[in-house]
Amino acid sequence: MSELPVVTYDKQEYIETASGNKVSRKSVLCGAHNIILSGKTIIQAGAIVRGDLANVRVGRRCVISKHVVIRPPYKKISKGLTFFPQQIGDHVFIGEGSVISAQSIGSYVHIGKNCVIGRKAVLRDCCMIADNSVVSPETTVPSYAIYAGVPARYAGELPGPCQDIMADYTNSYYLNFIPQDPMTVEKK
Amino acid sequence: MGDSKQETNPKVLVAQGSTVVRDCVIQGEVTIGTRTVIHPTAQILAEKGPIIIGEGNIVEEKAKIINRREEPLVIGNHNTFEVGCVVEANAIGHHNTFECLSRVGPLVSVGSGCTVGARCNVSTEEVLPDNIVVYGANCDRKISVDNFRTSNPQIDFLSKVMVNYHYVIKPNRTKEGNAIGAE
Repeated sequence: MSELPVVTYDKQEYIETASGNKVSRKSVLCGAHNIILSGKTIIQAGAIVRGDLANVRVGRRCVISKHVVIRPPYKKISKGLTFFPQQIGDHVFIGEGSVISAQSIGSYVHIGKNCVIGRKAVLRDCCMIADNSVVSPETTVPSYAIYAGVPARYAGELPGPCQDIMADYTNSYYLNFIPQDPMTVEKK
Repeated sequence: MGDSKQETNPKVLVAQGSTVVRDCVIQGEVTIGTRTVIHPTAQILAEKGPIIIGEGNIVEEKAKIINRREEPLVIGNHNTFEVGCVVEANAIGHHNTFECLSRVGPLVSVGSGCTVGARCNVSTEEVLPDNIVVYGANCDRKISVDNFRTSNPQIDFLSKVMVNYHYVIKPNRTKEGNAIGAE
């Protein structure tokens, strides 16, 4: 696994919590007390997490890129409608501009850019959604599968050590996501 | 959140019973009907002509409704604009759904009961007839079978819950102090 490039960010723009979460001030977290970030998770600028609709639980070492929308899924029931709590596992990477309405996302999952994960979809551990895919509502993506296309279909299998690869990837993303003082940026 | 400034745009008319969050962007002359829910970070941009939104519509996060023409853009009732859609159509009927990240160009007029699927694009000069579904990677068309679903339960839920978490724009009143749009 090659090293990821260093991504620097403005120290003023991000809030770092005690458990190592880095949350951009330009992100929108609605209903913050319903959102649980387990630690060392990065939420970048322009991302939206809708904790006001239902609980959202995000695991450790996740990367939520720019302009991602995470909103809990809803389902019509006999009497009206409810929003379901949403769970995201550890070491999950979500690419820029994706819309996530999945009911649960396992650990070590890679979601590409500009994807739409439909309502109440279930993404199992160690799966991958290619860029620009649309996962239809209520789909289950099995482990070690690559899904791609509109609507997303099975497109291949991930290699056996993909758990370690994703863990390495998100760890290295977190380590290379380095603060920079605005003063030093100006000097350059 | 935390933005405590009152509404400053006097051209925005919000009817009684609608839920318009203050974190959304409303530009120009915009009228919003009863039971319409506007989520945070939605954008309604009336650049020249006004935008008139009917009853029971849902505009989700990052949805963009733009009117670049002089004439008003009239949006009917019970439409849903899902996350990240960009709609520049010159007319929109009733009971339409614009799914996540869909795009509707400025020369399109949309009938009633239409669905534009996720990541689909309709940008040629055309009239989308009633009950058309645009779906898939090639933006194929078909005629839908189940028409006129309402999202009433969702609106009920959202208008109940979102008030607890967001600052909401207060509905306008007539000069006599009566509510607009109340039955």
